Order: sequence, then C-alpha cells, then structure tokens
Amino acid sequence: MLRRTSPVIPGFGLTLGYTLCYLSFLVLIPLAALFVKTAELTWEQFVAITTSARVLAALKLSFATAFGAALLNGVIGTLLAWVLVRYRFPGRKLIDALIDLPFALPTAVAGIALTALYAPNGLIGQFASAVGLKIAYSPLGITLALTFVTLPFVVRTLQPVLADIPREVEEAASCLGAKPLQVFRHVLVPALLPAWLTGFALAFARGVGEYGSVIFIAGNMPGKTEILPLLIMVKLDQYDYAGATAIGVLMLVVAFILLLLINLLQRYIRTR
Amino acid sequence: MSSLSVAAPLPTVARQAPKQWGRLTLIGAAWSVFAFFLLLPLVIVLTEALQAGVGTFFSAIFEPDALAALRLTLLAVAISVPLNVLFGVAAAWCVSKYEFRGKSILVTLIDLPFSVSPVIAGLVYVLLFGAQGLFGEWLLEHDIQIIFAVPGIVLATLFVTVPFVARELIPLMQEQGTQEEEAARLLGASGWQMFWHVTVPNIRWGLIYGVVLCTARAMGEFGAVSVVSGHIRGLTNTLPLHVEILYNEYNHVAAFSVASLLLALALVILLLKQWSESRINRLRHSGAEE
Amino acid sequence: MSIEVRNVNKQFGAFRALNDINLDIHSGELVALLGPSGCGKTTLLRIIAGLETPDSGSIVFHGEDVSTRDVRDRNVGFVFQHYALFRHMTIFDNVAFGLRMKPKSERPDEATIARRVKELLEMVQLDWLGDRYPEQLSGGQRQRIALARALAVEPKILLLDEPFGALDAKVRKELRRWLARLHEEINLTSVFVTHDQEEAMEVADRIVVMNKGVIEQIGSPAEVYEHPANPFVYHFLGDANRLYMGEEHHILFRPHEISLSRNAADEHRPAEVRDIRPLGAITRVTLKVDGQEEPIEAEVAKDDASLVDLARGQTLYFKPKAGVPAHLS
Repeated sequence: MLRRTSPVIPGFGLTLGYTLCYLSFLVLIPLAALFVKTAELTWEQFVAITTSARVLAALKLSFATAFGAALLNGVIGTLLAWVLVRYRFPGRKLIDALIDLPFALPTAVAGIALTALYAPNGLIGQFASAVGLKIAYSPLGITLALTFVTLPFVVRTLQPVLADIPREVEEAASCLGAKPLQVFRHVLVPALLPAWLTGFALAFARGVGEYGSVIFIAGNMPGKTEILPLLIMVKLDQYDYAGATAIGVLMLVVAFILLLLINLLQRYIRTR
Repeated sequence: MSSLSVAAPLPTVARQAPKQWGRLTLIGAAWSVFAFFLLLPLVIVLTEALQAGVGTFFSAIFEPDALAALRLTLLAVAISVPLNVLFGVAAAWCVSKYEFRGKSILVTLIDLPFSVSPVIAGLVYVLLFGAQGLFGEWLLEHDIQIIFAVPGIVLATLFVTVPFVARELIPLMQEQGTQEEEAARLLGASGWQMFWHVTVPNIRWGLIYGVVLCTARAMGEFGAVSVVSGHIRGLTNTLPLHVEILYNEYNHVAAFSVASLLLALALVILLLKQWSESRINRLRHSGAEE
Repeated sequence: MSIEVRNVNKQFGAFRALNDINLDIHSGELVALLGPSGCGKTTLLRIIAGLETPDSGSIVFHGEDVSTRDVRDRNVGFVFQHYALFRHMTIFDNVAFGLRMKPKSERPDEATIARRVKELLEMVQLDWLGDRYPEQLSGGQRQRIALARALAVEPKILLLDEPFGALDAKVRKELRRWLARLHEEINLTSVFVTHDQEEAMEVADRIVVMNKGVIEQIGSPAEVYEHPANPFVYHFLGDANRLYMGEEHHILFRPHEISLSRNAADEHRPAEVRDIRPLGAITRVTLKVDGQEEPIEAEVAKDDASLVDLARGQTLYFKPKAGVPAHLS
C-alpha cells in the first residue's frame, strides 16, 4: 500500500531544518573548508605532496594494515558470531557482552595495553622475540591493534543475519544429502555474504582512519611504521597546513571511493 | 547414497559424535580468540596499573592534572551528549515520519562522521579556526580562542559523536511507524502532547542506548581531540590525552592507573548498553506480536 | 451527524488513489466501504478522518465544511486496523488518554475519568483488564479496547479501518455481530472499511463498492447483491458462474441460482458431474459443460431430488434460474 506523509504528524519543517543546520555547521561546512584550503594549492603542488615517498609509504602501510585487520576480523568475527548465535555454553553471555569492549574502551587505553602486551619485553612479545618475531613497532603490531579496535564490526553485523537464518534451512539441505561443507558453501555463504562485506567494509574504513590505538604500538618510523593519520599530525606540528590538508583530502577521497565500491558490490550481490 | 541414513537409526547416532567434536572445537576456538584478543588487554591494564601497589595507583588518579583532565572529559561529554540527543531525535523524526526527496542522501550525511578519520575531524577545525585558518584572523582580532582551547575540544568531540543517537533511533522509529502518533492526534492530543506521551516513551530505550554509545565515544575520543588540544596540562588535556602524556614520559604505572579508570568507565558503559539493549529487544518482541 | 464527501481526488505520485469521489452518509447510518486492496477505500476513510488531505474536494460534517479543520477538532473516533494501542500504557491509561488530553478547562477530574473509563470497559465487557498492557491481550480484546478508546471522547462519527481483518475467523464472526448490536445501541454514524463482502453484507446498512479509486455502486446489501450495477460488483459480492452462450457472450449466475434435473428437461443443458461436496445444509456439485473449460458450480439444498444416488461421472441437466448477461471483456 502506498502510505505517504500524514499531515497530522507535525514538526517536519522544524526537525528537517534543525537536522540540516546542525549537520551543516558541525560537519559539512568544516569538511568543505578542507577542500577550500586544498584549492589554494596548485594541482602540481597537490600531486607533489601526495606522491612523495613518505606519503606513499604511509598510504601503503595504512591501507595494507587496515585490510589485513579487516580480513583477520572477517575470520575470527565469523567464528565468534557463529558460536555466539548457534551454541549455548558457559561464558557465552560474558563473551557476547565484552565483544563491544573495543567500542567502549578509549582507543588510547587499547593502544598502551596492546603495546604492553606485544613489546619485546611484554607478556606475549617476549615469546615472539625469542623466536625472532617482532610484533610491536612493526606493521604486524599495527594490524593487531586495528584488529582489536575493529573487532565488533563483523561480529555485530553477522549476528542478526545468522540468527535470522532458520536452522531448518541447513537441516533441509543436509536432508537433501549435502555435506556440512557443502551446506556452508551453498546455503550459508550466499546468505551471509552481504552482511560479512558490510562488516568488513566498516572495519576497513575505521582501520584506515584509526589513530589512537595505533600510534603507541607503531613505533612511528617515517617510511616504515608511520600511518597516514599520524603523518597529518606530523605535518600539523611542523605548521605545514598545506601538506596536512592535501593528505586529508587524499584520505577522504580514497576512503569514499572504497566505500562506494563496496556499496556497489553489495548491491550487485543483493540483486543477483 | 543417503537412503541408508533415512531408514536406519544407527548412522544418526554415529554422526552425532563428530558433530559434537566440531561444536566443541569451535567453542574452544571462540574462547581462545576471546581470551587472546579481548580479555588479555583488559587484564594487562589492571596488572600494570597495580604493579606498584594500590597507593601509587590512587595517587596517580587523584593527582591534580588527572582530576583536571577528568573534569574536561566530563565537560565534553556533558555538552556533546545533550546536543546529539536533540539532533538525533530531530533527525530520526524527519527521516522516519516523512517521505521526502533526498532522504537517503540525508541518512548518508548523518553517518558521514563515521567514515572520516578522527584526525581529519580535528584538522578541519584547525583549518577553520586555527591561527592560519579561514576565520583565524577574525578570531584573533576579537580575542577568541577555539583551537588549543576548550571550545575546540568540544567541537571535535561533537563532530565524531554526531551519528550515535540518530543511528539508534532511525531504525527503531521506522519500525514503530506512525499509527500510535496518529491515534493520539485523533484523540485530541496536540503535537507536543503526542510527542511526550506517545513518542518519547516508545523510543526511550533506544534513546538510552544511543546516549550510552555517544558517551563512550565522547569520553574516549583521542585523535580528533589530540589535533585541537595543544596538550596543555591541567587546561586542555582530556583523560585519554593525559594517558598519552604520562605514557610518553615513561610514567607507565600512572598511565595505566588513569587508563584503568577509563577501563572501569568503559565496563560500566557496557553494562548500561547490555541493559538498554535487552529492554529494546523486549519492546521489539511485544511490538511484533501485534 | 451526516457526512458528505464532495468531489474528492487524491493522487500518490503517479498512482490515482481516489478519482472524483462523491458520497452521502446519513446520520446514524452504518456504512461499509467495500473493495479489493488498493481500491482507495482506506485512503477515503483517512481523508474523512483528517489523517490525509485530499488534493481537491471537500468533506462536510452535518452541513459544515471540515476540510481545513485539524484532526483533533473533527471529533472523530478512529479504530486502526492493527489497533495502534499505546504499547507502553495500561489498558486503563489507553482508554483514558483522550480525556486526559483535553484542554484544562474541559478536562474532567481524575475521579470522573476513572468512572468514564470503567463504564467504557464495561461496555466492551473487559472491565477486568484495566491494569494490563496491550501486549498481554488477545487480538479480539485489543480490538474492543481500541473501540472503547475511540468512544471515550464521545465522537460524533466512528471510523473503523478493516476492524476485523487481523482476527481469526471465529472471533471475527462474534465481534461482527457485537459491533452491529453496539451500533444499534449507541446509534453513531459509522463507516468501516473491509475487503470481505460477507462482513459488509452482515453488518452494514449500506454498502459502497469501490474499485480502482472510483465508486462502482452504492446501495443496501440486498440492492447491491440482487441488482449489481456491473460485472465487477457482481463478481465481488459473491461466487459467480460464467456460462458461455456461443462464442461472443456469456451470462453470470450465482451457484444457488440453478435448477438441476436427472432427466433432460426444458432449456436444461447436459453436464458431467465432476465432484459432489456435502457442506451441511447445502451440497455443492461441480459440473463440466461441453465447449468451455471453466466448470459450473451448483449449490442446492442437501435434500434436492437430483442428488439422490448421484455419483461422479454421471450426466446431470442444469438451467440457470436467473443471471445477468455480461459481454466478454
């Protein structure tokens, strides 16, 4: 049935006006300022800044570690979501409640905690360094920190979808002679893929922009373990506003393109 | 073929065993992942904080700079949460109760701060209000300081917390529809009476949930605040920034002590979140029956 | 209070929901808006209530144009299809809501409100449910509470949107009769929307048959059933048989408008018996006629002479007793 706006519910102009004003003043105009400031640079200057070796290295590092963390979350997030939805076991409620800890915990706290764990003299780091593996102050440490802060994304997007797939569907499939792996491949994967991709995309986007949890564990060596957001901070500390702005625009544009691509992919999967 | 398993009970019993093993393996794996990724960081904060004894722990928390940082953090929360509640209710109202062109764009814009790096959130305010910013000169002439001062910290916190309340309320209000509001109007309620007597009670748990998430983020924001803060001890330091300073000064015990205070707040937030979530679910179930 | 609907039009985007609707409802009447889903009946009801604004045309209550009047001043009782009870309020508070929302000068004191609510709950025979919440009630109970809530403000007009749509068959029948009795008692001008022709026939004084945004016919249940204005009304008001008379045209007749005979008789046509279903007082016989795919259904009294020892596969002779000609469309 077509049901349109009811004239008896008041407040449309007021709420829409307030929403637009608030968003404009707090978010849209400030973001526009970023682009206005970039316009002060010539195209050649912009390209020179964004393609300098240090920026490119940071760009590669940020995207690679965010991608790795999102992928790792794709695996352990699926595991956690599956176990939490499908099984009843001791400690289930505790795990379910603490899954959101990374969202509630200030990222700086996460950062120093993970550094304490993975530093060469840390609880886990000492064993790793005994076998010659460096975790903290390396891309691996950054990936682990990003995995921690983005952990809830995949779990929380998969959980409701998984709970909505009735067990009967799997049972019907196994009654038709499908083996567990076949059931997983042909029944569960298609149903879960859009949600999984959403969780992955959210984790990835957050990972690229994450700052607080990473700077403690990264070591922040220019060209080696320096992430993009940190590079913006460095430029700002040197009063290089043009440089900071250019990198900011670069980050925004690349992040939007990625989100757009993943949105399109999701739409493609849904309409297939 | 599978004809055997249909007829005979024996294979089903035999199949049960490996299934049980698979189940136990998965649960074990989930527990390990949980312990490794979530429990361990939590435990390390507490052990590091308490390694020099309870006395040192408390003196780090009750030190004047730490208390000043706590006050500033609470101030940022106290300003950003009510403003975002107002915004969230208004945004959810116009998105869920009306049809209009460009609605999906508006919803995307509301979510925009989530896809922007917090460092950029800080950067844009520096570009607007900083000494070299668009309004920098004007502000200097009028002796107003935003960047490297409290207003900047509040603005940066507001930016990163914009979507929290709206995001919780929009789906909830869309699900509930407008019929109860229409019924209230038909029974003679004015717009405000309808809002306070019907809408607010229906969305209150979603609202609390949004407030809880918004508080968590406002309290813990680091990147955006770090850009605009200037790190002036006792003046423009929030708790997370205070943790960073202590840590960088190799005062690990103090850093972890303050961190454990934030951790405790985070755990309280998780409890509140769990509680409001269960109330929303109960509401959803009762709604679904109708 | 009478209701006049004058030249009302309503469009949703490209969809024409109502096309120049004119309708007079007399004071104290119980009228059914009947039609398939999407025919515009709910939109018309919402326009009368003031929940929807027509693109053009006007609504007149008792000679007074109320088109521009706000919902809360129209004094209309409205029962929603899914009741729209306030889920966070007790049943008592739900019914009391309208009284408590009145401006201070008109608002009765709490004791009066309590008495009024008790009376209303007694009227709907649910006075023992006052402190429950809507989610604890059955569908039929919620329906009656919704009605009590609508009546609390003493409306001059009662509008009901698919009042029995969400209930199971048995409860629906009981409530239908109860509503008809209640209407007799309180004698309130009432309009209800339904897609169920049986419901409309059983409850309403007059039926407004709607289709695709226009009114097809207005009349008493007997009128619309006996003298349908067109094939749409004929089909919508009951089962219909289509009997082809040659290539070009066919006639329509109801399953009970038939005479059956075991022997060839005057104007009777032969048919093969495909199925025999005793349905209590009547028996339904399905017949296959040469030259058309569609079977003919005949409903006759269970002691009809033609049924004695009848078996599938036998030949039976039939003749429509009445019927309207209809052109192939």
